[in-house]
Amino acid sequence: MSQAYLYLTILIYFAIGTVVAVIARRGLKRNMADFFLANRTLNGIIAALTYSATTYSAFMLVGLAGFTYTGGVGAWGFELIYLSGLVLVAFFGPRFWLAGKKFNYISPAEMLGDRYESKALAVITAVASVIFLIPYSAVQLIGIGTLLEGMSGGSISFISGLVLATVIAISWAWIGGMRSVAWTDSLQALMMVIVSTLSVFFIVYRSFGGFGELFGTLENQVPEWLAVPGPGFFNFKPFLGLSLPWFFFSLSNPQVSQRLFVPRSLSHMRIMVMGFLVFGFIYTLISILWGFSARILLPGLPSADLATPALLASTHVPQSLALLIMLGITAAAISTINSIILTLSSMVSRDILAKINIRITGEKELALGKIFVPIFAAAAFLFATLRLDLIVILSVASSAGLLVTVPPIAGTFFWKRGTAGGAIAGIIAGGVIAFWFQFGDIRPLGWWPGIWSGIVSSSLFILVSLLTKPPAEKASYFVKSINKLLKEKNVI
Amino acid sequence: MSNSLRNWVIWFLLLVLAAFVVPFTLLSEIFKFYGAFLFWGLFALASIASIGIICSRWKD
Repeated sequence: MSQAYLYLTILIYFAIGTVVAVIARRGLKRNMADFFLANRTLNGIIAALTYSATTYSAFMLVGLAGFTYTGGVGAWGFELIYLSGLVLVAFFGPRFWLAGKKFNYISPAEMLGDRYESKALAVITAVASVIFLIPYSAVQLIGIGTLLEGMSGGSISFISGLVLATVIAISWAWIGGMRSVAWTDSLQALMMVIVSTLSVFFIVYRSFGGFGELFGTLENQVPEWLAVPGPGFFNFKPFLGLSLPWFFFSLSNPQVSQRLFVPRSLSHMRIMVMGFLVFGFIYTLISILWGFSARILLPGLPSADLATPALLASTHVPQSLALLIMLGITAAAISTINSIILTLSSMVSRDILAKINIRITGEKELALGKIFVPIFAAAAFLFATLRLDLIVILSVASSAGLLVTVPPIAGTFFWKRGTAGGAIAGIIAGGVIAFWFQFGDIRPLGWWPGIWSGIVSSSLFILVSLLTKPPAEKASYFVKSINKLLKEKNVI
Repeated sequence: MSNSLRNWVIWFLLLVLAAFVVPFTLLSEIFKFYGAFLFWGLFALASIASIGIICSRWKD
């Protein structure tokens, strides 16, 4: 595809997004809550769209479609089990929101540190997030670089793709913090879902004659793709190893859980949750149908990751449509990267630097947070240029690695006996297990790293908590005051 | 933990357990659209509806 077309498309996308980002920043005040949480005043629809765009990355149309290509319908089950995990938001969302408002929390790490009365816990949670999420962002950048390089036939270099994506991600986060990110995310979420839905309709109707015919073809040609374990990729243990950590994604990933602080009210949070669920169901279905279509149209590809690029490059997809899909995938990646960068910046400023040096407050804290936006983007860029295996391992390990924060988060609201010692022991040991098992490809008893990091972190959180002294007064005050507010708001 | 919360937790545990178990057992030999594909689709819709009921009770 012509280099000029690709550049022009991205330029138009960048220009429109920048206008949206600038408009969104109007009225921005110079404080942490406004820059990183849009002053906790997001409208439910915008909150739903930013939640969707942040959650769904380039993984969907590339990775999940690839899983479908190789493993069949198990990919649909895996992603829908994740979606059902939103029940955790139905339980914890109002609790986060009320606690955030009452205690003025900016990040989930800050909430943990305050509730367990431990600066060290806030610092460790923030550091763990940086360790696992920067490589995850780098992998998104690698995806954009590879896609642009592949689609342009090499005339746009991998590095040029990375530079473009990094500049876009920094710009929109820098211009107006969460306000700009939320609005550009919304634009991108709509783009992602509209473009991918139109494309799948086009491919399915043109190549198969309709959805019934697509499934008819699958039943005839590759019937095992419609059952699990089916072709073997989704045997039970890998399926569980993938699905279980992802079930907890809405709590374990701070770029997502921080969004529980931002809706204007609980009715706007309800719109956010339901809007996301509808978006997620549609986007998952589209990604799976895309993978199934690739399986029938282009059998025998050497790698599952090639399913989407190969389909885009094939004669089954007209160039104009391929260009739009490329943009949809780029939007999915950028909207995830800039949200991660923004969240990590808030955590470094509030949970690491301000905890180490108590004189960092107010505008100084905000200025430091903003400085980290380009720093983290540059770090992700550098990691992406290195293309180290280690980055991919850390990225893959991120769901298992961040899972270790879930037991203390649950304890925050439901277990007054929990202690910072228990939380820290669980996070460190669980995080090390996640990385070590992923790095060494170690699967004791055949179970995946996420299962072990979950077991180790939960057990240690409970055991060490029982052996150490809890912050009794704070725990009692926190739980009692949140429960009182929950009752007033009729939250179960 | 309130009774209502406990009941919802049990309901979701059963729902998610079914999503792990049923496709790998009862549906593992059904190589049709109405096998695991339809089951997981209905599982997701049941989850979405349940979450909708939980959220609908929230008051501002």
